[in-house]
Amino acid sequence: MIASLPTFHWPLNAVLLGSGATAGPLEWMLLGALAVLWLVFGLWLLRSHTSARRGLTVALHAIAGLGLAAAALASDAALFYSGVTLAGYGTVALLLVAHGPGRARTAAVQVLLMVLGDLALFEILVSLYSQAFSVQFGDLRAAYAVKGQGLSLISALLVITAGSKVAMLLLLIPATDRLPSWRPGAASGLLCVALVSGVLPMVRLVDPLLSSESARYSLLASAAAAVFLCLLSALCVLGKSRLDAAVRRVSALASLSVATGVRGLAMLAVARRLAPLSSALEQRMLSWPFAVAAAATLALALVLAVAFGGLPA
Amino acid sequence: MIINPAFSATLPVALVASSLLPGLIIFALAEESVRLRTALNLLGALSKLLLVALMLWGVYHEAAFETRFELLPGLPLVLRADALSLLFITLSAQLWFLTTIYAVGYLEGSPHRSRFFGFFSLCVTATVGVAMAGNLLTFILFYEMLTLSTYPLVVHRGTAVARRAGEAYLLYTVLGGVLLLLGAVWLYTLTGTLAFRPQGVVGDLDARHHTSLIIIFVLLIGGLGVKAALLPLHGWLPKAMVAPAPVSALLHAVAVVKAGAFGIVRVVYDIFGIQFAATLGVMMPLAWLASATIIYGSVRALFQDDLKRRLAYSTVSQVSYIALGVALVGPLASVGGLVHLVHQGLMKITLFFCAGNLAETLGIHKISEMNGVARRMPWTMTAFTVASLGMIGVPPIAGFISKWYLSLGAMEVGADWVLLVLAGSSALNALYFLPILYRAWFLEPAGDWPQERHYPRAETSLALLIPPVITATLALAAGLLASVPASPQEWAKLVVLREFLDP
Repeated sequence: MIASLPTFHWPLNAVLLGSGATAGPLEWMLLGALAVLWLVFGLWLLRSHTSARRGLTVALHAIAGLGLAAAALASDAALFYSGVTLAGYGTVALLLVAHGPGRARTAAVQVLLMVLGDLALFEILVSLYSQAFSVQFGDLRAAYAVKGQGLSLISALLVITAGSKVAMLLLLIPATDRLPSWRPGAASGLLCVALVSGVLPMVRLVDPLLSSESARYSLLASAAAAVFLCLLSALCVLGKSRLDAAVRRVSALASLSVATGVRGLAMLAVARRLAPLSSALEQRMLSWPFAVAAAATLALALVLAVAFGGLPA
Repeated sequence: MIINPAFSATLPVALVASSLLPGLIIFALAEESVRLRTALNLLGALSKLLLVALMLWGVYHEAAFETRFELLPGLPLVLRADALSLLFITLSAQLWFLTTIYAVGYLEGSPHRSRFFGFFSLCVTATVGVAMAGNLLTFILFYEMLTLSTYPLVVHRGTAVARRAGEAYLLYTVLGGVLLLLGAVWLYTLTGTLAFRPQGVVGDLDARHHTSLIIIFVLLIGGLGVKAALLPLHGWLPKAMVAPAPVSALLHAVAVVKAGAFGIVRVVYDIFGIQFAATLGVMMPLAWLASATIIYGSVRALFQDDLKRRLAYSTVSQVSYIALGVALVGPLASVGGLVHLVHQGLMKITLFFCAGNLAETLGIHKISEMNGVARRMPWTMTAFTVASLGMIGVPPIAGFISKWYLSLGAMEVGADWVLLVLAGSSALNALYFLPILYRAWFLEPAGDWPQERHYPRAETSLALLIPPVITATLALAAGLLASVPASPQEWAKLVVLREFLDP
């Protein structure tokens, strides 16, 4: 069904460096996802800000939304970059309006990450243009295939771009304790930014099938960079006491993971010893009479539980 | 395209006269003749715009506009309009018109307005002369006229601080003028001409003169570098920010620093010839100097609490983009440098207009006093925001186009280190502009404003509000619609094509 969506192309020769916008199946899907997330973000904003700043909120939401749409539809680097920066600056400004100066430190780190990501993206596009002599994504992708092999500077820059934008989103997580409750609305706004300015450059520039070494490297390294940048940012944002708490939490999680892992390995070892038995059980469970008996037992247990004490909360 | 020779010879003179004559009349007007003075100012500015439009149309269609007067034997005074000069003249004429409106509102009720507007008009006359100079002699005459007509504007307030700033300005610029004159005389003794020609006039000289030519280059660039605020000749510019806001706009965006940067372009391209200058080995040191100035200005701007002072150091940094674009010796970098001549003007004049509005309306001079000011003056701060983001290089505002071409130009000639300079400059610009925006838009006002004035119709006087809104819109349009025919970007490409690639 998605493949049957119509494709449109709008030449915008007078805009920026000679731009254009294209809407094909991928763009329609992306626009749809962005629209839903952006709407959630907008509703959350309308609930969380004071009425005195409603005009500013609506204007910023519209500008950043326009940036998202431009980035999603752009068929060239200049329009794409414009959309990315509009969306990024607009979203961070919206979060500042919504949270007030109490979140200034988090916002400052988010702005730094955004500027870092934008600068890296700018250098990527300039570097690819100097190879392709075109701002069209098709030509830039061909240039990336040449310049982005292995551990190249341009791959590293792509990693920084994606990593910094994803880190902006992840940065909301350590701050959740300070907020009244976890706010998926705020996350949905930053998720839009991370999608168009962190992930979309990869989709546009990197081999879509991840068949080349450089493509796989870029993707993996981006994830690593995102985690690294997020940790680094958390260090900047959190106070000492919160940092201690966060470290305790992370170490508790790590201990739990290690313990689970060890148990898992032990169970694996036991399972291997009991392989013939488990194989026989598996075959039994797949048989109809065994499945019916198991389902009946489960249903009876449920009925008894509801009748005599209710389900546990 | 063929134009009546008398007409083509008259137009450059008419362009100079369109501000010179009103200026001379204004000097003679009584202080109370507000309407007549304003009418003369606006008439001069509008007629200049009309003449510039005519010339743009003509030069685009390859018509020639030139006037010659025999000044000394073999040394005529030449006024010529070509694509490069029109890039500068168009900027000056447009911004002059808006600055005039702004100055009328800004100086309302203040003393010595006839003197102010008289010198104001002489300044634009000198700027147009600098832009249209067909040889180095004409250039120097108008360049010095610019120095002398700007000094009374810098010291206009008459305070001790203003006088000290004026003395520093005069000291630096007169010294610069002396260097320029020395270089010109030496050049004339070697070549027998001071004409501006595509590919330059010194390329045919014997190799034994190369050392002399290098020294001449240093003298000329040193002389021009004072007004262009190249390191370490920039000291006058932050001091001169005590001048009234329209004068700051004049110094930073329209005339003075631009005349210096424009002069560097002329000397490199039309005296030495870009390729020959590269052969002499003087271009890479110029690129290093410009890069050092870019970073130095940004770092100094970071630590200023006085708004105009921060903007002044920002100018020190940003104007060197023009010199950098020229020094990289490549067509793309040249486009970046030339287009930044216009873009920096649009963005910086907006910032100075806004700084003036904050000072005039609320008595705000320091960044630390700007908490929550956007709630009181949203239009002014919207214009300020657009210009600030443009300075950082955020698209689709004009500064993005400049940085794009400069970066491409650096890669084109293999000077990848320039990318680091430009990225560093952008990051520093973000570091010193974004906190201002944060204070203005997101913090609560601390209390009463230092010195608030109320206006019935808007947040401030309309004469003060409309010019920055227009210039911010122009800065946005210059970036967003960069590929429209006759946009600054397209005109800069035309200049590079005609003057440097296919002269």
